[in-house]
Amino acid sequence: MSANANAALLDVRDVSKAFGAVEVLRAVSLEVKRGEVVSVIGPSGSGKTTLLRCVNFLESYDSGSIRIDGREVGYREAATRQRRSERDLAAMRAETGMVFQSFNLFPHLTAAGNIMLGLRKVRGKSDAEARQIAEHWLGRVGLAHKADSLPAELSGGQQQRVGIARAVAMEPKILLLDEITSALDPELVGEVLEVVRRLAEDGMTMLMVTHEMAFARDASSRIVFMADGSVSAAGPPAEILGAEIENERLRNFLARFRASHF
Amino acid sequence: MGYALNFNLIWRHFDKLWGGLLLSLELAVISIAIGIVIGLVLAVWYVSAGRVVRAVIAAYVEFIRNVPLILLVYLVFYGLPTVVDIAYSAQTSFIATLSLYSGAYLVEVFRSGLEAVPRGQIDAGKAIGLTPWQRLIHVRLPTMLRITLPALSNTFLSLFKDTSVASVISVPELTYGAQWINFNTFRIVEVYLVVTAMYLLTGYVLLFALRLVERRFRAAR
Repeated sequence: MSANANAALLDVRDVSKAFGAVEVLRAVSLEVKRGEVVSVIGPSGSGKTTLLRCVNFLESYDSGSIRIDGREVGYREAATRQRRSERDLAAMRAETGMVFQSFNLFPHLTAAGNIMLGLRKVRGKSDAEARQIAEHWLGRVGLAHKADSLPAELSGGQQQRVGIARAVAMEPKILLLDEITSALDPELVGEVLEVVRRLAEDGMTMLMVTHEMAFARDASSRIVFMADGSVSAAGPPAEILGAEIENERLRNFLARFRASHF
Repeated sequence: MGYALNFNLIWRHFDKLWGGLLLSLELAVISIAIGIVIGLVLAVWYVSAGRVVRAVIAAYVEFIRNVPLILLVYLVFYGLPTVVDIAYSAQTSFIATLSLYSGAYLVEVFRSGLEAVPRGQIDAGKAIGLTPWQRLIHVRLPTMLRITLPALSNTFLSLFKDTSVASVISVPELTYGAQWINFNTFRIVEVYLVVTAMYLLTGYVLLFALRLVERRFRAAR
């Protein structure tokens, strides 16, 4: 599909969105290339999560364009803003994986069942095939022994690892991670970040909203700093989180962040 | 006051009560089954429909909820055949009435259940690429049924008691059986004591069984 290998896999152009009078996104643009890990940081209310939810069209946007692999995501064309059919949207969303802050596992399905649902209904795999893939990914996130456990029987960290396995088992082109450790007890954060770190090493393209600065610094190719609904700074980790920062808002944000985390 | 309790005549005609109880259960089970279908279809339709459909469904629910059941039974059994050219047995007529009746209550139960399905689960269904129909079948309905199970068993229990209304159109369920024995033996106190015990006992057994089912599903959350 893509015209050339260097073109961005995810191309967000001038996306704006308002909830009533509140402008949550103001002409946001960013690119994620194949194999890149891009972290979005910023104070709460800066529009990070909304931006992420626009990428797989869980939220619509008012103007601008979001393309994955050259294809407009939520609209037939950016110009006419004619919304895609629900069937089309479902097919587009199957190309992106998403991991949620609050896990959002299906409570009536086991760990394996959660992973198998999309494989069977969306990818058209047989039960046996889907089960095999589910077990493979549960093994990868260290939960092979929990395949038949219900979400309620798992810890938060385990649930989130199932959430990651559910998303990557669909072999998405890009993985969206929405503050995936924010709802976890501190001692469970590490096991989840470790899984993400290994996915990054395997070349998974990721766009993640995070408050884990150390992790963002170590795992990201680039960091995007958002404030008040727009991209305020963007660049490699060393530049964004480095010692000399010219951007005053970013400096204040990091100072506040360090003060609250020592 | 020299009234001496004498249950002999009741036991002699006990087959009327036993058969009546079985019919009561049958009426309740068939009606709730049809009522569940009505309730599900209308609830799903309601949450995804426009204003007009919503108004029509709401009108049906309000009508049923504000008219006494016994009146609905009369309307369907005596009223409808005089207006429309259809014929049906008292039993069929009662099942139709009780189904519409429970359906109206279950629309409300299922509608609020659907709205109580956490947003995040629906988002997760969207994110893996499920179509709206697939999300309904595989995500929203399973969670909704878990949420509504207690209300569903309460509805069934009161429906079981409501089958006694069928006696007014001579459907030979439990209360009708009691009246029959009453007319033929005049052992009023004994009959109603026995029948009350039968309703009570059956109700308890049903309650116990339904709570077991609920607990099983709650454990599976």
